[in-house]
Amino acid sequence: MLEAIVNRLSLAQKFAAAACILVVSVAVFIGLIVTRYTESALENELRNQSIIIVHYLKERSMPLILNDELWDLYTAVKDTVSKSSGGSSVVYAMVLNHKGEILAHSEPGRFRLGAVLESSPLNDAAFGAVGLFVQPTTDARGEQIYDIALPAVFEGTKVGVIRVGVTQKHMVERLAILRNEIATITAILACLGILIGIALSRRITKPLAQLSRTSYEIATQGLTGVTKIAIKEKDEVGKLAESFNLMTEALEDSIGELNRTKDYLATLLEVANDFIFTLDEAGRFTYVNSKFFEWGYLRDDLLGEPFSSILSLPDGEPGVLETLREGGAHQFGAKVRDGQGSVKTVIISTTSICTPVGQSRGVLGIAKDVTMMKEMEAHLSEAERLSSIGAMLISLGHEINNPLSIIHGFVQELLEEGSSDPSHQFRIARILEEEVIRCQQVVASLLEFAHPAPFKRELINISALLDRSLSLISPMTKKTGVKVYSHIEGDLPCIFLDSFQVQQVLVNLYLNAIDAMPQGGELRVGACLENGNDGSLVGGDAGWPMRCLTIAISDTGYGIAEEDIAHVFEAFFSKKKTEQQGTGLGLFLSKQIVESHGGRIEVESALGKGTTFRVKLPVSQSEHARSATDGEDSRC
Amino acid sequence: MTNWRYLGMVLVALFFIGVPSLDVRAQTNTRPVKLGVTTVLVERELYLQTEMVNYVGQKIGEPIELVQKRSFQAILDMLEKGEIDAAFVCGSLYTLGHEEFGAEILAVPQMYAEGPIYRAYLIVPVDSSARSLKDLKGQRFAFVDPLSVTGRLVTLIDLMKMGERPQNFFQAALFTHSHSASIEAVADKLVDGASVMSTVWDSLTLMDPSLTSRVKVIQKSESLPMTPVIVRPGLDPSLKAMLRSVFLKMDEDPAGADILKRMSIRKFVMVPDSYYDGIRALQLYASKSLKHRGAQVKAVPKK
Repeated sequence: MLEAIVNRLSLAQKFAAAACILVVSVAVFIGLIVTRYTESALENELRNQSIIIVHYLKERSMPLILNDELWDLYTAVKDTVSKSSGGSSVVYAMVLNHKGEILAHSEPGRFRLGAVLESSPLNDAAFGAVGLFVQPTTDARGEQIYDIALPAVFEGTKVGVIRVGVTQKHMVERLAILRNEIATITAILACLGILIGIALSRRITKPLAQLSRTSYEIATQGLTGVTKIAIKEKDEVGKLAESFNLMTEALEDSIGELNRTKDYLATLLEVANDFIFTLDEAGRFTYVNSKFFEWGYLRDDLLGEPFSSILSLPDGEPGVLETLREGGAHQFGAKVRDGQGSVKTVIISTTSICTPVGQSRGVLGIAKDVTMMKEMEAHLSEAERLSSIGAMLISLGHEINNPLSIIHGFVQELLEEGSSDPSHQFRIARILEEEVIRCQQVVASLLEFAHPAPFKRELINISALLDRSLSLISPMTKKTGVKVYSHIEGDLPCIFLDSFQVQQVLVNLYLNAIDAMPQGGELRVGACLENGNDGSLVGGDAGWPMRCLTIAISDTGYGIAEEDIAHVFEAFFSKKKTEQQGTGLGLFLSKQIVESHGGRIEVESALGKGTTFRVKLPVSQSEHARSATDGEDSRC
Repeated sequence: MTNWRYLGMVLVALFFIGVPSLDVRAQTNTRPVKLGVTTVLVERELYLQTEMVNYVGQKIGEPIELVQKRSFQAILDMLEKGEIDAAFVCGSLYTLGHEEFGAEILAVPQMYAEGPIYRAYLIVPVDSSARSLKDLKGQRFAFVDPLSVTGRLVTLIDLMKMGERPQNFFQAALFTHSHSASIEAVADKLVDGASVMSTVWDSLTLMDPSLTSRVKVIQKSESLPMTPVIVRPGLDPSLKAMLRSVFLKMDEDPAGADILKRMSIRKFVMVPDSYYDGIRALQLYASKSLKHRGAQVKAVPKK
């Protein structure tokens, strides 16, 4: 309770209260001592005064008693009371004769002249006193008085008794006055103490109040425009103010530096050539940089809107949601609609924004507009495809030419010889049919390869895709004498991919291998499931239990020079030694395609011994669960 | 009337021949003129008495010394011995002095319109039920002075007429030696009654009404000859004449009239010796108890 009150007081009030308590305590202490001392002194004085009074009255009364001067005796008694009534304390005085009759009494109306005082222990004791005799008693009003009796003795004979009643009332009154004065002085001193306390505390707390005010200004308005605290005192408070000023300056510098850094970083974000944005936990935009203007978006159009609102296809959302849900970093391709409704192809990298304690606060996203690049890639891919088709056409020309020659020979034979042997004609017809079927197969394969299919991802049975791609190159392998060995595991999973693109990659790698073995050799194709959490796959970070499908294509050809290995995936890099010069685009595009599927392509080669390409494609758990189905149809 | 004419002639003669003789006396006699007063008459008006004495001294050209005594007897003794020259006394004192050593009347103050007279007032506390002296039987009584006419003699005569004696009639009696003190004693209820001179009562009703309001007058006596100013017989006749002249003409002088007014005295007049025969008659009546001291309460035990 008291502590609560003390805590609520300001420093000035505490000082004033302390000063007041101190002053009042000292004053009360001194007051008590003074009162006690005065009380004792007054009592002593009263006693002495009373003794003087009674002796004086006796001296004055003695001749009057002897001469029977009763009026004068009365006057003397009256004087004793009236003269002392000013400040002293005689409430009654009387002179009795030797018989106890009243010769004079200060109250003649009540105590009649000549009457004998009624017998009482007090009166009897007073009358019988042989010397100064003091008795405590009370008067009619119940006030404490002292009855002082003194016998009047003349020549050894007691001629009367002088009695005086003394009250302490005046003493008590004087003490009360004294106490009042002390109380008044105490009150004045206390007020003075409070004033001094307030003045003193103001002096002490004024600089503190200024400090507090300035701190509040800094807290509410910032450091701009804050004036320095001017405190002249050199005491602790002055030093505090000095430190405060230094701190303010340092803080101002630091904040300035921070602001410059912040502006710099903000400028970096703004001028970045990528689309940078942040999303909150619910996937809504909380920041977009100026790059979004290029897409015709104003900042206000996007802030607060869900990320999915700019997606033209929902396939971009899982990546963001995954980052939000599971943290970490993801990269994925997506189709985005710009402000005018045009669809843009982007590659988005997302990173979870985490607090130091790991609490997610949203997602930082960086989107790269690869629309142009994709278009260019598509063109290049087409060129490469056409190049491949050309290369294939040459070999397929031979392939078709042989049966056509056979067909031509048999047709000539039929025309020239005109054989009528039905069995011979039937045999020729069978041969012709076989050769025509061969031609049809070759043409069908070519058509399938050359026919541009739309970009489309779906779950593909990878075993079937491998079989089909290998069948495409069988004419070339036969021609060049390359022996094909395939080792494909039976329970490979279905994978979500674009079969046309992947087939293009595989055919390209086969053709490269065949080109590297003009004198024949061995082409080995293997496929197996591997644990891919080595960080090599795009989107698979450390600790992510992702599996991958590895397709290895090995040849026993020339091999690649060590200095060239680093460049084989670069565009327009070609070292082909065939009659046909390579476009230099095959491996470059293959790499693009594999990476667009979240996978990667690796090469291992020894000059003169051969080369191995490994295509690694990520397999999600769900994809893995759906194992490949048998049959020609590569779709699952 | 004859006396008055004689007195007038003396005064006229003195007027013409007395002045030079005064100078002679002044040269030979260095003792100042002394005037005796008692507290009996003027206890509370001593300052006025002093003023009057100073005035008279101024008029006669030499200072007058005031001698104050508590009792009439003491004043009378001093006058007889020539220790004082004149005195303000009670009528009974004059008759005694005149009889014993030939004291003479100098002048008499007149306070009432009817003449130089006064009365004795019987006073009791204001709440007392007593209506006359006989109601005070067995009570306490205050006398002023054994020689006082109004303060004692009148009461004694009244008691004697009632066939009583004060020592038996009153439970206790005391002497206050002052008319104003007697009034005070009644006011304080120290005593149940007292007899005082009317002039003191009258002046006290003006000067101290709070005192007199506690007291009431229940009986007034017949008029009595006013207290005179007397001189000793051997006083220089010229001085005596001069003094008398000053007193008698005091009311004609503005300064003197002012003092008289404040003392409630109309003027000083001259009366013949026979004026006090009434007092003498009273004294004769009470001769047996004239010098009796009536206090019943004895302080000193009898051995």
